[in-house]
Amino acid sequence: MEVGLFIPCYIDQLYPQIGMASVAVLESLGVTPVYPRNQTCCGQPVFNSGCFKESEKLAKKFYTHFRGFEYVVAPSASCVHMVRHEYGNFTQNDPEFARLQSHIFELSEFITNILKVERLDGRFPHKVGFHQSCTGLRGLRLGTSSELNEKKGSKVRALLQSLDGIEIISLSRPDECCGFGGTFSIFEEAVSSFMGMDRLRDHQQAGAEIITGYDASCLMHIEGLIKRNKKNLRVMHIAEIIACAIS
Amino acid sequence: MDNKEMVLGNLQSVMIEEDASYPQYSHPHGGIKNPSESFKSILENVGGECFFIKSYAEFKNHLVTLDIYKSARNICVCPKELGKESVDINSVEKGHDLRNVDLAIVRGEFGVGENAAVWVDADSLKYRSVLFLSENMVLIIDSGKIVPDMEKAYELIDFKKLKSGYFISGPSKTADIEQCLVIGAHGPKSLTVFVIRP
Amino acid sequence: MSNHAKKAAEFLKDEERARWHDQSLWFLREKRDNASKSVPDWESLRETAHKIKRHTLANLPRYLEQFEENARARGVHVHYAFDGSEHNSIVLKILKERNVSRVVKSKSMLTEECGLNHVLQKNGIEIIDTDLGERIVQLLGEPPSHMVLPAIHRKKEEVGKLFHKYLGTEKGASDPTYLANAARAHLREIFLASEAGISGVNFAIAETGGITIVTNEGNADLGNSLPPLYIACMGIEKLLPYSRDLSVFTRLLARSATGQPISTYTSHLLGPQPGQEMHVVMVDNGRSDILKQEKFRKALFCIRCGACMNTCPVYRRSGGYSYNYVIPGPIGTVLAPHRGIKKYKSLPSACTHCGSCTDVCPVKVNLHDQILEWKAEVDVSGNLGFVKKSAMVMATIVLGNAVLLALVGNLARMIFRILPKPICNFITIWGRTRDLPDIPAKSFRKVYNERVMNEADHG
Repeated sequence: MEVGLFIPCYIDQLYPQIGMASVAVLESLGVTPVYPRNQTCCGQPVFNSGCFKESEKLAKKFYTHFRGFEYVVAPSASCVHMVRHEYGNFTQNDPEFARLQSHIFELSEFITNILKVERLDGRFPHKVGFHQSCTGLRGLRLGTSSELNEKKGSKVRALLQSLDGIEIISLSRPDECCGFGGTFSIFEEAVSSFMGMDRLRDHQQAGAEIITGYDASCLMHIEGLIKRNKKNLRVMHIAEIIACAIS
Repeated sequence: MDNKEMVLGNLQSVMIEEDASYPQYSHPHGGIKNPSESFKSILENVGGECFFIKSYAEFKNHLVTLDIYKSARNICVCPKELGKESVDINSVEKGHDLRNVDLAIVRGEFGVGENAAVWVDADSLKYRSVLFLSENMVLIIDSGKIVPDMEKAYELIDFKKLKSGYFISGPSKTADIEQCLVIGAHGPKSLTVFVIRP
Repeated sequence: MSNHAKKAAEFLKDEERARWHDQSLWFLREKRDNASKSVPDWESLRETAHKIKRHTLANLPRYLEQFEENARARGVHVHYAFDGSEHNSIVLKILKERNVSRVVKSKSMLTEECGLNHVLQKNGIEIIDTDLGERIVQLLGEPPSHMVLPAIHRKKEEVGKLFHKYLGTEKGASDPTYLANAARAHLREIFLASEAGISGVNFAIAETGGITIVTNEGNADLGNSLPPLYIACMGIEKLLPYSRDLSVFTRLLARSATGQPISTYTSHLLGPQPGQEMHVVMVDNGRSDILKQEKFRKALFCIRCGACMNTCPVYRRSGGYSYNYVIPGPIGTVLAPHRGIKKYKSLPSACTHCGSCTDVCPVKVNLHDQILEWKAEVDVSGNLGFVKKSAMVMATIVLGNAVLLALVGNLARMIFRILPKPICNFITIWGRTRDLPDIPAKSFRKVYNERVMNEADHG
């Protein structure tokens, strides 16, 4: 199976290892990732600042690179949410555009929902804090948010849980926002960091060694606070954990 | 143009295209297996008390043992079945004259299991202010009826005739000072409910 | 720094108090969760409530007139007010005509919105807020900082000091029960002496012409049953078609607001009591304009529970005053900009779009989506600000071309790898409180291309 591989702009520039881990994970599951060379960005940072017109240009560019793929996979729930839920603003009734919207998946979502893999054959003997980034959780519904009276649970969490030796710790606030929020992290920097420190403290008090999630932007924010405050924790994207566990 | 014309006129130009039909609905509370049990336990949680008794006679015997009765100097009894005490609501000149009522005893029509609310039809009370002026309150549900949820509750109320009615659940309260729960704000400081089931 | 950002940063300077504020409101969120999870049909109830509100607002003129007719038949005087100042004039006129010099008021966000207190005071009428929290902020001369808990930002020692000054409580006393009892005694005399009572309305029923008020303290009911004159003030969006619909909303409101299964008093008033004059003032004040805007109309479904505030991680850490509007938090953020997008342009940016507000809203207002729409309005109206707009325009240019992205990216990464870490942290806003990530030498596309070429070479 071939899939279009979308590597978000900030992962491309700042976290190439997450991109390579995503490639490794897909290949290990028998999927061939195809990386359109001239891809850049889904437009989310611009869109989330309110600049809809500008982000439309980036959406149209994204479409030119990824149309025609059976599936598109990205190690970023927020980017996938952008395409799936916000690209509707730009599609102008183009059925191919609509098709792209319904066939793009976050990496772990692709593994559980399309490849129908529920258990991974790998070992990761660590205490892990699972940060359920907001757009993935309440946007893509990758899990059940704590606000809702529903019992669906999280397939992504179950996937992680299947790794041998892993212990996913319990948080006092299981899905509170970390405070990254895109440009919020710059323009509301005081609140952003205050929120991030609260998340960090929660993970620390619960005994986490590693904080993971499906959005590297949140992890970048939390990691920044870890390093500044010299905390004894590290962050790993879910793709990195899986790649490490199955290798 | 007067205000009504302006308001309604501005609203007439609102175009709503999506489906906005009135929904047919029914949401019985599937979690209330025993409404009476639920009523009693929730009432106790919100600072009230609940007794199940068999008759008016038993009510009277129990009432006189309660501190709120023993320490009360001015008692206002509303249901005719219970006779009179020191304050007769029908004899005072205005609602303000009930200001010193220590204990009011009022009929409740039925209770609600999901939230320990008691429906009080205030039309039979000469002054509905007695419900809020008295220091303590006793409600008697002589019908013995406790329905599971608010949906069933509203089915029992005839709003065509009603002038005022209250769901009352527990004593008055506030948490406005540093979120500390204080029982007894402006209304009665205690609520005791008697349910008569022969 | 924007208005909200500046005020929030100030709020956070007192770290201990900020943490206490956050914890107090999170506690309410937890109570709400416990309550909602005890109702098996909770999510269906929310959906029904949403549909009832949607239907009512789509047919509002009809329901307003039906309410008016039925209320009048029951002896209620019904008034329409197109805007806030009309509302204030109507209330003032009613009070002046009956020579009222003192009026007791219970919780009404609408009267806050219209600025009623100020108008009455200017015209020589004493108006006393009687909800404990409202009374506290009134004596302090402050606006409320939360819709349901107006004095949440004040500690009990501060209330003790205030009551010692105004109510004669013991110096240094801060026990909440003692203070609440003092307020009870103080306000009781005021209720008994008042010539008029004013309250808000939680729900108005078109079918009967009756109104429903939801309270815990009992003050609203003292205010509408003791004085000979009673005025109920409501926004036009408070209408519901049938009495039966109360069964849905009374199950959602208190649980969402405080986690209680129901408030202590759910009062149904269908006409004045004997010897009483009752008025209802129905206020538009911009609501019909909001209804015209498809993107924003669902905000009118709001039943003023405050759940969105309790769950909002930003509100909890910035406090009500950072919003500079009568209602703060997520619902405030979607309502305020209608009153001036330039004045409130900083509010939509005070949001991470986490979506928690939308998930707790009992009537399923799409709060976080509307906040994003407001961001777009801020941009389109030219209020984004030079720095932000230029940054976004430049970002679009760079991100619009892979070669340009690679070039700019390589250059930036090179610079940040050369510069010592403290300088990197110093020159970026990010670096004030966080370290920058370790900057890689190669981008993903470079690493991946090298791998592809490697594989090609080795066949």
